[in-house]
Amino acid sequence: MAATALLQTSGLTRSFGGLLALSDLTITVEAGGIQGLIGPNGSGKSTFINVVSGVLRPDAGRVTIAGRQIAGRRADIAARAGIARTFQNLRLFGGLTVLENVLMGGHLRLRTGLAAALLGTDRAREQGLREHAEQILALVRLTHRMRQPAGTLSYGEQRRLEIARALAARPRLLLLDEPLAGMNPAEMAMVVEIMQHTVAEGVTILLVEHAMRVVMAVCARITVLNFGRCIAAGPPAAIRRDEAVIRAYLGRARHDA
Amino acid sequence: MMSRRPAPRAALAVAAVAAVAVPPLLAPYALHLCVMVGIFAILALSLNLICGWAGMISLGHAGFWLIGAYTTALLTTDHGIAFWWALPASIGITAASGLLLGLPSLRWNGHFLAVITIAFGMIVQTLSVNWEWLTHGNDGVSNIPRPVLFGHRLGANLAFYYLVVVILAAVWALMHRFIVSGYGRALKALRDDEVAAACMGVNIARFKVTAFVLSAGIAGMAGSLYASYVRFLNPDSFGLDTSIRVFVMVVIGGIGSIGGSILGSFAVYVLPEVLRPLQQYYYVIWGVVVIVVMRFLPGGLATIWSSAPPGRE
Repeated sequence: MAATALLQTSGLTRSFGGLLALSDLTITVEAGGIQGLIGPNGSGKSTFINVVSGVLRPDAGRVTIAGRQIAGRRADIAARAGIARTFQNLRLFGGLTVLENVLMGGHLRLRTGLAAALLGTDRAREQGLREHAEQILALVRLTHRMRQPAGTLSYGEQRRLEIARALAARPRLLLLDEPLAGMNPAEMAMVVEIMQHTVAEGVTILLVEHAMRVVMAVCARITVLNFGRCIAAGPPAAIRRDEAVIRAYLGRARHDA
Repeated sequence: MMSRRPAPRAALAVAAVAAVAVPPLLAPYALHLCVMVGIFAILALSLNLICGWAGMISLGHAGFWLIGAYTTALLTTDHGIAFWWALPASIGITAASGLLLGLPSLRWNGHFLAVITIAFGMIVQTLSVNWEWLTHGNDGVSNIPRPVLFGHRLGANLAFYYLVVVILAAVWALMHRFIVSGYGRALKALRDDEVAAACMGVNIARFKVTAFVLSAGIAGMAGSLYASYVRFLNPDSFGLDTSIRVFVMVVIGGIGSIGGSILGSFAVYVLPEVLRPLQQYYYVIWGVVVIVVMRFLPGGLATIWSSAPPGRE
């Protein structure tokens, strides 16, 4: 294949007590566009995101982003390697304003040393970060809420703020963990538009999502997980017809265990 | 940081002018209270850095205060070193001791960390009693010299008061810079959600330890000033009750508010003195005052001008 792998995992394994959440998982995300990651509840999608972003350590396996091995390293190191993410259960900084949340997303770009912070010589970078943050807030249509505490936003607004905060990092790879959950159709359309805008700027997105119609429409490639294993990977049309996928989703008896 | 409604500028200006102009008119005892309020305000600010912005609880700040005070006391008496060298030494040694508490803060949060900090304070106080070869034990350290500035010994309490005011103002300015910088924002972020902050690239361990080291350094500065002000130290002044008193100053003044720590120090230090003539009723009234403030101003005295708690906006 001509496309280059941005994210490559191999042999990724993680268990919780007796439950094998990821089992020898090998997944490739190519640079550019949106790749889907789907599967029934409990199939290991969120665990995968948590392991790749450094929130969880894998028991075994490799995670390589743009050639750098980061499996088992801390989350801030994954962030430094160019990975940004949103959280399925919303983890905004509730005590900070909407703008401050987005500025936090750009934390790594600030590179503030303690001395620079105390002397106030970091203002130019802060200003640049702030201009970018305001552009992102316009994109996710939260400009009017900029100065309010993040905790006061509506659910849909909080979901958009999660994405805005991740975008402020200017990541190479953006991991979106169910960004459409609980949204009405108008809000969904807004988020799809944000994703397309983001991809146009050269960011690669790995989209974990249950809203099948959206996944099928926006993803060039889809990977399907079940019980921590990859059961299918390919373009939407092929996934839709895949026997193993249909079985996993409709819950027919499994013969391949 | 940007949405906080600041105390009216007029009120701040009046407070600043009063802080400079009123003390010369005060009776000696009232002036003494002002100096102590200033020293405790620096100590309260140091604690607020940890509690208010980093969201960690320390009930061991009297331990840092002790280390700073004893460093200055021993250097200036037993070793004849000038206050102006002893002050940075106090800051440095106390900051280094902050590492001791910063490391457990990586593993424990909330009340577990609070208990560890209590233990730290008790250990430090016990050592100051028992390491007689170093600290003179219960005899304490006496005849600690006052600082000499431009050939003038700051022997008068009024002169010392102005020294404290200048240092307090510098600490205020540095803390303000710190808090509005990306550093301060990251501290507030990790207070709200450590996992999310780590995913933004914040090295949680480094930030927490840095917060503890900075806080300890500022507490050491307050200790250094205290030693050369009261000129006599013994371990009794640095117990758990002092740690709790400083904690109450931070909470009453407003967690996460710089001005609040100064207001809180004033209220907690001066009010009991004003109430002292009431004798046995004074603790009762003081207790009621604390409860009333917490009930109606949960964000502390600093929120008297606005309704929302500071630092949470």
